[in-house]
Amino acid sequence: MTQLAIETSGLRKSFKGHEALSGLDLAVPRGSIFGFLGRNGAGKTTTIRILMGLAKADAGSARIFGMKPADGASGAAIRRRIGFVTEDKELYPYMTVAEIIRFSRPFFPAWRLDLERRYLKVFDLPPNKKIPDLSKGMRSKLMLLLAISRGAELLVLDEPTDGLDPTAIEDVLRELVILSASDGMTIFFSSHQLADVEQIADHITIIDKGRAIVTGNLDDLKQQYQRILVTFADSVDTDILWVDGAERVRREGRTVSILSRNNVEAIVARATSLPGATVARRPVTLKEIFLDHVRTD
Amino acid sequence: MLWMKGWYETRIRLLVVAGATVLICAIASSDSTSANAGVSAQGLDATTLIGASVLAAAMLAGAGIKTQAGGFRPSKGLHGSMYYTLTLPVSRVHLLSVRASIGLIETALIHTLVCGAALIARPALRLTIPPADLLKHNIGAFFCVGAVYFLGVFFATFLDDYYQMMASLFSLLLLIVILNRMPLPASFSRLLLLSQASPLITHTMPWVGITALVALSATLFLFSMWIVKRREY
Amino acid sequence: MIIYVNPASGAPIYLQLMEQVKHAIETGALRPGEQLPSLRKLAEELVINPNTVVRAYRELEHEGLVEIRHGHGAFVSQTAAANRMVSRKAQSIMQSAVERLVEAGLTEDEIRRLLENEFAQLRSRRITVAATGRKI
Repeated sequence: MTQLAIETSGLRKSFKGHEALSGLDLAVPRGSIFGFLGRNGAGKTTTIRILMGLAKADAGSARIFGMKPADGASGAAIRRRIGFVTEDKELYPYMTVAEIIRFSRPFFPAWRLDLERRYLKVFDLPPNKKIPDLSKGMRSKLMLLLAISRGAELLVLDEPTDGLDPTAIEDVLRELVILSASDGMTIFFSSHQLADVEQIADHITIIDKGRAIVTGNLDDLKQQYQRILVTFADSVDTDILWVDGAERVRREGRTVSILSRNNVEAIVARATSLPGATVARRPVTLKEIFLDHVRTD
Repeated sequence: MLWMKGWYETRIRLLVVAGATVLICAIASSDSTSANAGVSAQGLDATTLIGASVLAAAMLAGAGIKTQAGGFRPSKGLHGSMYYTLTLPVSRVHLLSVRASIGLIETALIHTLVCGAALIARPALRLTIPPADLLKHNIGAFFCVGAVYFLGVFFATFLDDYYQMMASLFSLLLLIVILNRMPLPASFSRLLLLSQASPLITHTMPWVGITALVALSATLFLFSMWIVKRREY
Repeated sequence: MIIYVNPASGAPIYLQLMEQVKHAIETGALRPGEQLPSLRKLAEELVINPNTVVRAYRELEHEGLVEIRHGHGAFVSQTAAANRMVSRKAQSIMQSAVERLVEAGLTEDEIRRLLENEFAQLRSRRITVAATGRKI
């Protein structure tokens, strides 16, 4: 039994000449809540499609529970253990909430009736309402109900809180956290809502231009990354501060801001040694880490 | 549950096709052959009505794995709900098989409707042709229609609704034109259109023809499965 | 005991949790032998990752403030009282220092920057400073 729920290595995929994935490495530990972040077009949806067996990678490998996501009987066996929420939250337009639940149940021998009942109540889903008549937020919740009630071991969620108001978002995040605490569920979710990720994820990967650019345990990343602010009495050449490990050096008047993960102490020591310099350190938010890495300077 | 879902998705389409079929039959029956015409003429007449079945087959085949909406709403590429279906723990082959089966059953229903309509609209048929022969003819015709259906299924794996229908009918037209111009042995071309080899004349089931058509249908279906397995979404 | 965390503050959540537990011990809101909120309960109430809570409790155990009894939960350790003494003393030193700086006319931010600078100077002179949060 592998320790990784999802693992990809050197994943590559191109569409019509455009390279969507250019060597993606992912390692999602079992039982973790994993945030998958990236700008639009960075390759998140392509990755999810490959993981769900909807598309095939051109090169590299992808494994779920140690197995290849393929079609046929083996692929079906894997998909029985995965709950999936799609980006556009579309379901069959001629069914009601109750009908699509009834439709889905027979496919999953591990269906959890208790969870189905719980989420119908907690998410306040009207059983007899036709799906197209539901708001986008309600459809998100319905897809979550369908994904979780199947008794899955892994949830793959693409923008799970899309269309939800803040209280509903908190409800969803709470349910995910409860699942993680009680069932040891692995939750892999891609989201633009950095706040959501920052709140419940313990591991993250930031993907940009088809490749992982930041990966790690979220707490560790926040501890390792520091923003060092150096204010000079007089103008100074910032090149002095380009020490090994200084990642984003920005200058605004007589203040220089450095984002660093490795070698923070050396940079601070270097900065302090400069004449007329006052040094301050600030903790770094996930948003800062994200923006600083995906913005092109 | 997949059967139920498939039924939900195709029932409107079936209704429309059934209605259209009745209309076609009604129009065709207005210029009926006189009761004194010979057997072959009657047979040809009955065969013409089969054309309605063929049309129906082409239309019903479009309710394939790509379309999610019932009726004749043109599907622009893929529907979002397709992702839900494809990520269910069922193989694509299974999905396609269920869909194809539903469509085939519906086609059979229409075909029965057409055959029944032929009998009603052409009372002469009942008089001049032994019923056993007529039955064999209709059964044989169904295999023809079936082949057209599977052609439609094949096209539906990579074409949208309207284009699939166009492609099916166009292919059929092309086939007829080619066969008419080619110097084929008499039995062969008729086999496909079930005119001269028809039980109406031979009084036996056209087993050779049926086998050929079944083989053709199976091949088309295998191709469809192959495409569906390889497609990316 | 009421706990708040701010996920967006930049400080790792587990550190925030640790700080709050320590504060509760210092002020007496949590006494030695008392049980801390259960893993699931805390995660559910704060809507944070349960592994974060695990990490915070483990770190506190590492620092001798908390005992984890398998199957029963986390409890404030008896030695936490002794640690409380140390931090009380440190608190009074800090209090008088800050008071004097404020009297000298410094603002809060200036005092903070002074402190950062002082740490930086200490480090560059290779004098070890006992860290409050241990690195993993």
